[in-house]
Amino acid sequence: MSLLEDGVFLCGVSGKRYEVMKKLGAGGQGEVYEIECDGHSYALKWYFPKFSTDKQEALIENLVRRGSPDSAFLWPEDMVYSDTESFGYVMALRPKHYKSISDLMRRRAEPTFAVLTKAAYNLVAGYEKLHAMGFAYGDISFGNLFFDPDTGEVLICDNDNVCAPNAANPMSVFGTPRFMAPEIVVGKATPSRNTDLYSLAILLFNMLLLHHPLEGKRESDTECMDVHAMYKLYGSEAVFIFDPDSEVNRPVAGVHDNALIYWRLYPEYVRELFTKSFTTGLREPARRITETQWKAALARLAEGITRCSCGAEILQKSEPCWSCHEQLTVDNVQLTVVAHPDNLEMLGLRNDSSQTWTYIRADGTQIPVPPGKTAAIAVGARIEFANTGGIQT
Amino acid sequence: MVSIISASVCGAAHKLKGQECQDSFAAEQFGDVTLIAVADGHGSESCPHSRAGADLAVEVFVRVMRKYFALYSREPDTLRDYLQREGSRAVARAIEHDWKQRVSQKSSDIAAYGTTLLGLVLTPMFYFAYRLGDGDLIEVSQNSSQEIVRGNKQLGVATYSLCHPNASDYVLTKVGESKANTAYIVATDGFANSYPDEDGFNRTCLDYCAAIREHGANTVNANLPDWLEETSREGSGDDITVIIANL
Amino acid sequence: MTDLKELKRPGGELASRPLHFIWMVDCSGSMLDDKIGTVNYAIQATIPEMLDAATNNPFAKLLVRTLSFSSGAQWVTPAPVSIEDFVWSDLSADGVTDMGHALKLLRAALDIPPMSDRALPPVIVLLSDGRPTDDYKPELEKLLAMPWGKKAVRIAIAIGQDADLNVLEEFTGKSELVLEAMNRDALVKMIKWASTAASMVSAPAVAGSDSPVTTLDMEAVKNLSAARSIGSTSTADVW
Repeated sequence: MSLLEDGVFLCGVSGKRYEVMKKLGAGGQGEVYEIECDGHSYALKWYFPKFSTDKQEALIENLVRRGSPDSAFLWPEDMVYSDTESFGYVMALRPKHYKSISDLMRRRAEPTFAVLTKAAYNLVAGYEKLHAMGFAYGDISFGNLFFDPDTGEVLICDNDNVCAPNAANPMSVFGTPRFMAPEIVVGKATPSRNTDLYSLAILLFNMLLLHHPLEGKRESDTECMDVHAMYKLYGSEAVFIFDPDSEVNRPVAGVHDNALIYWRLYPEYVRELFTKSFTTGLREPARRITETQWKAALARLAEGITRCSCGAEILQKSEPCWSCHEQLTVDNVQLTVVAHPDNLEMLGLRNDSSQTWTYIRADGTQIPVPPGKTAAIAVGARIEFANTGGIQT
Repeated sequence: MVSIISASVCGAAHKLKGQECQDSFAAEQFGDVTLIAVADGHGSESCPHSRAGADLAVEVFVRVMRKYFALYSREPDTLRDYLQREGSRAVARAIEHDWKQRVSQKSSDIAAYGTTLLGLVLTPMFYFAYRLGDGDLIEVSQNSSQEIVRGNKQLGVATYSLCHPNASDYVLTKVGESKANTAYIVATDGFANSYPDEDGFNRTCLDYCAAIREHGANTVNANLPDWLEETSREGSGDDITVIIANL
Repeated sequence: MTDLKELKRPGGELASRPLHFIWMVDCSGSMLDDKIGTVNYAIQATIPEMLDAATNNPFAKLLVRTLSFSSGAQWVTPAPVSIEDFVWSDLSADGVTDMGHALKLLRAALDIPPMSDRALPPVIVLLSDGRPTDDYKPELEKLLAMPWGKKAVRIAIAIGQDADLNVLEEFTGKSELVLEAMNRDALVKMIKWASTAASMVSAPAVAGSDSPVTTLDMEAVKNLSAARSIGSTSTADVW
């Protein structure tokens, strides 16, 4: 039984008349419909009577008046009333081919690293604009965020609870526990820009590693994940799964494989931001990684993506390909020219890669050169680097 | 017998940026007279030749003072009296004029050679101190260390300069009695700027002189460059020149 | 020839020169919600870069403080904080605009002591959206007569169209150092630029000449002035 029937007409504050076409879905606070006006289609969120409060009304009015921070936001454009006490707001329709982050987490969407990095960047940029307006989001979670799996363009939805956090008007909706800043989980703080930054870090970790940064051994050891357990895991006793100073919550092989697989794939500068976010960032809200810092790292990551000859995307050149384990091409061979300790005029090439080379003397003798060892540069000799070719010295 | 200890190091910050040292100095002795001059080139983008300007400044100081001493060689007390009265103005003008003349032989852009200049002449009877711009002229006795000529300190990074149109108007001088068992320190401002406050700096001057008494001038002279490098590294990052004349 | 000993360096503790940076923020009621929200966001966002710049300039010790004024004035940071330890606590807006009060507090902080005469010129960034509600003139005059008051690099950001540009120009002494932010984007940009002023305070200048005492990158200031007119035509809100 829907709140609104198909074919019903509603009036917007803008003066537009909208026709209800069909119900698209329902959420905790209201129902979503597809509506039409002058041949254009929009979405309508219509509140349950319980949530049609004066306060909510004022909030939405403010959002409509202030305008959207950025095209990445699915933002209230118009307020709509009927002859009942309820109201709703109009926003753009979400394109059908967009996937949500939930889809991503459940592997129902498998974007390339390039698209994923771009989507992450766009989400950060969107939140930055929101914060620049003085707003805080409060409810960053998988279900609100959508991306185009081909281009990485994003849409941030469910923006009807965005508002300026201050003492007189604390935000009404608290986020999902797994995304909430520890200080909110333990009841010491209300949503703010700094708590948003924490949720943003959690979101990015989830997007890039397909795993939650606080779910390691502590999580698998928890038999009953009730409210009290969550309070500890995400709040009072939160520990990063890769905390450099504590191994108590390391990912468990077989249970938390994504974390183990993906962590080393990302370059050090990305891992460093995550580490800071979930060590210092757990307890010191004002020291969390800012949007500017995330953007710089994500841009750098996006620019550094290359392809191995096997087709896999490589995120950092210093490691072998994660897919085929080939070391990269000769141009990127890791070696250092060193002098013989006793005779500075004798030069050699030191194997700085993780693969064993083969040194072939002029007479054909083959000698393995393991990582760390040096091969002399001699006339007529040849060095083979792993499986990808070699050089003549 | 006056022993001279001196060192001049390139600022740690300048080394980082690949810039050259802008300090220059001269320390000479003739007869029973000791002559010390220290100059700190401005080293900014508008003063690209300030090192050359500093070199010229110390040269000019030495030349001008030597000339005066030659003129008054038999009457040091007359020279002292003259300097105490109108003589110091004459010296200041002579130095400015001479320096500007030499610079204009190289280029018409005098400002590009901008530099400070500090000078000290020590005789058995008196000393003559000359100051144009920042830096320190200190008299150190057993328990006290104090400025001989307190500069009209320009706060921040600005300073008086030889390239100014009326440079000699900004020169401060002093004639005083030379005392036994006293040391005199002439330094560019990179030295004092490496210490958090005046007390710290004064204690440092006392310590340096105590080190001379304890270990001898040669040892201190040998160690001085390292000490000044450390000072620049952990302190102001600026070029540092220190000359200590020990009576 | 006796062996010359290697001795430990005599003298006291070494210290790099302090560079004081002061955010002076108007927290009057008119700054409520979006303006103070943007200021809070923007200043916090400058911290990582200021920290980076400070790391690349180890010979200046960057010390940051915040002074807020509305009905009365107060130091939000009781003492200067090294940039490594500086965190931003959101300011809230309520009350009038007692700028004179703030200038008086500023004077006490710029006196010698507590300032050392070996410090680098302090940088003061004043943000305001309105007219002072107290008698600010005598306090401003006294500030500008002080040695460090005169030498300080003073930048002002005027927020919105009700800001009193004349007062802000009296504070900075140069009209180019009064930046006008007519909307959120411009305000964010200008706060970011102002935060980089600390790294511009190092080129020595010749005293006794007519030009002012420190070399700010006036090219960058001019470019920013051009930017403010771009900012005012782009986004929705105009204040």
